[in-house]
Amino acid sequence: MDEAQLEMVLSRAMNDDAEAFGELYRLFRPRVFGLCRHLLGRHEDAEDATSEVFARLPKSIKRYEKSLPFPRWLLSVTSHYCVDRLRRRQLEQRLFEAEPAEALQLPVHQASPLQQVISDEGRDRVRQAIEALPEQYRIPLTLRYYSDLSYDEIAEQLSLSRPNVATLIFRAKQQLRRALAGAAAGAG
Amino acid sequence: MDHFSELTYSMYADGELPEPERLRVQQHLAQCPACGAQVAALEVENRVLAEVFRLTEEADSAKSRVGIGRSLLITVGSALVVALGLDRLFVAIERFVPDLGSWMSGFSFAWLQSLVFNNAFDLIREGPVMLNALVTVLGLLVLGAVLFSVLRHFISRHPMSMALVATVLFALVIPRPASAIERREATKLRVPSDETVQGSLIAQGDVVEIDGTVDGSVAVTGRIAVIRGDIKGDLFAFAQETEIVGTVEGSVYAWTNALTVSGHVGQDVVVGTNNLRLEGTVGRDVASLSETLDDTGTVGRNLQAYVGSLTVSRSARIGGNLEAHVKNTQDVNVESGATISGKTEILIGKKKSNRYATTHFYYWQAIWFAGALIIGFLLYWVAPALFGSRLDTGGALLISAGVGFLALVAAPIAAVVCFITLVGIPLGVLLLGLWLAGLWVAKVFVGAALGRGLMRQRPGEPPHFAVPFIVGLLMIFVAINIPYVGGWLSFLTILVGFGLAVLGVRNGMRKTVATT
Repeated sequence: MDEAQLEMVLSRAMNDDAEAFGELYRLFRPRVFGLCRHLLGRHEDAEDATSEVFARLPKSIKRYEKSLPFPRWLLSVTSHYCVDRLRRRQLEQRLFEAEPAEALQLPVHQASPLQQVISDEGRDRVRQAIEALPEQYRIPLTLRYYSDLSYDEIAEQLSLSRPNVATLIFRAKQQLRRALAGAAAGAG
Repeated sequence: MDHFSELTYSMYADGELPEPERLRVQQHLAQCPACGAQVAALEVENRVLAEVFRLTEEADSAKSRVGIGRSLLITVGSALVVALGLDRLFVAIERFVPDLGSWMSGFSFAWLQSLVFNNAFDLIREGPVMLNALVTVLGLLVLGAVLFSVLRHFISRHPMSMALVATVLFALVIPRPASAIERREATKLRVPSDETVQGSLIAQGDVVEIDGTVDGSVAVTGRIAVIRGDIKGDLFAFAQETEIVGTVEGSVYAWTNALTVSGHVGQDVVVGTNNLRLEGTVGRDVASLSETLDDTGTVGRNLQAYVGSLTVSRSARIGGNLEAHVKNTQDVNVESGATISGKTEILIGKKKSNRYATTHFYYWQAIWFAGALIIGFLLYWVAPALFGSRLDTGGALLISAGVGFLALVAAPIAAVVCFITLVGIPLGVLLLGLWLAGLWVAKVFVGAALGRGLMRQRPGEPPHFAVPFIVGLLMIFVAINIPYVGGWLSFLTILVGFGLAVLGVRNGMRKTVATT
């Protein structure tokens, strides 16, 4: 589907055309589900959240501004919803501990094991390692590399400062590298 | 040389470094190959990450398909293995205890046929023929659809667990290939008099003539079926006209327009037909639903006829009782000279008394209702988690009905499997007990869920159980006593109730695990 067609579907959706929502669901369900899956971790939760996002779409689409590409907007709505859900899941528990950004001026060291995993099997391992990350790392990482959000956008979504986001993403990658290096060492 | 921190390089690779700093890093990278390599590695890393995320999206959307495919494969494979294993087991048992073996291999062709016949016969005899048949077919279709959708739903979520259940069901559906079944099809199909068919025979044709011998049973469909030879087993006939001139050593089950028995039937004749002529001998009972019945031959035991008109001629002999269900007395003509050893009963079809008009009915309903109430409260008191499942949506209803159906079918099978292992007998008894209890308690669960669905409480109110439960249960009791529909509603209630109970137990266990 090209831009113009998507535009048509969108304008139909904004006029409460039920079929258009079906079309949107068919088009974007995998992406929305994928994001929910990464953010929430559990398959059932992700399915639940996906249907919730689409169930709210007839209402939320009224807030959609054309300046943003629709997929990006939809993903940001989805991540908002998921983060909300995570917060509720954890109730009082703080989802993100503010990290001291300056404590991380680490020296340069060798290249990442991440780049060595080009094979499919390796990707599977990366995927598992991502799933195993604690939420506070997994969420910013997902928002950055799945939803393709900028640090500022992530900071806004998670109510964090920009340096904090940078630190979390950096730490997430560090932990990934450690996990993968450990797995590689364990396997070899 | 003044290196930057890894965090700075990470932000640089992400394109997130603010302008003055980005420029400084860029300048440094131009001079420092080590840091350049580091940043290049980080960039590759970012690409890998983005790719992994993208791939998981595709994998996730493809996952359900793959999952179903794989679990289907597992299901079919393991079903075959189980079926083969069961077959070997039956063969082994048969060797030691021949009779037991033939009883245990219950899911064989002959058993299924006789089951279908008996049930069809009962069903047709009992009520308005077409309606019942239609409802049955529709019901089965709906059940099939429900089962299918539930299976799909579950397989996509828990491939292995469902594979197990499906395996058990599947293994029982596969008929045992123990005795050879031969299948023949031709417009004019004839087993010549010098031929002996080993095992059973399924014969299809416009005209089917069996002049030879068949060692096993015969199932025949066609326009005309004539048996002149010898069938050692049973005869199942779906034919316009069926004629038995020779011998059927077992029983005859027939659904046919006209059946003539001028030869010999060793055991019973169970038939639904327009015209039944008994000229030969029947070793045991005759049960017939027919328009006309002419008996000039010999019936070893009882003759039971639901019939438009019945003639027992003077040459006829009936070893047991004659029971005729007719509209008027003059529809029965027993000629003098006919021998009837037992008693002759002519029952005039009369309207059943209206059971709703008796106090007896309400008395017993009230007792059942009170019993259900008490059980419900007790269960809620002991295990409130059992009542956790909801029935707010059609989907939830379908799911519970499907789960209930599975439980309804699987539990007795599992119990039988437990019995076979001998060690598992206590478990089997427990399972069977739970199953029987479940049949009755089902309406309690449905009542509770129904009541709660109808009487939504406002948020903030303390949850209450009693009033919605009583209302729901009352509705169930009224519903299952509605004439005609009530039976089906009752069946549906059992399905849904079973499902709710199973889901409730599952939720309860989940909660226990979560809290410990």
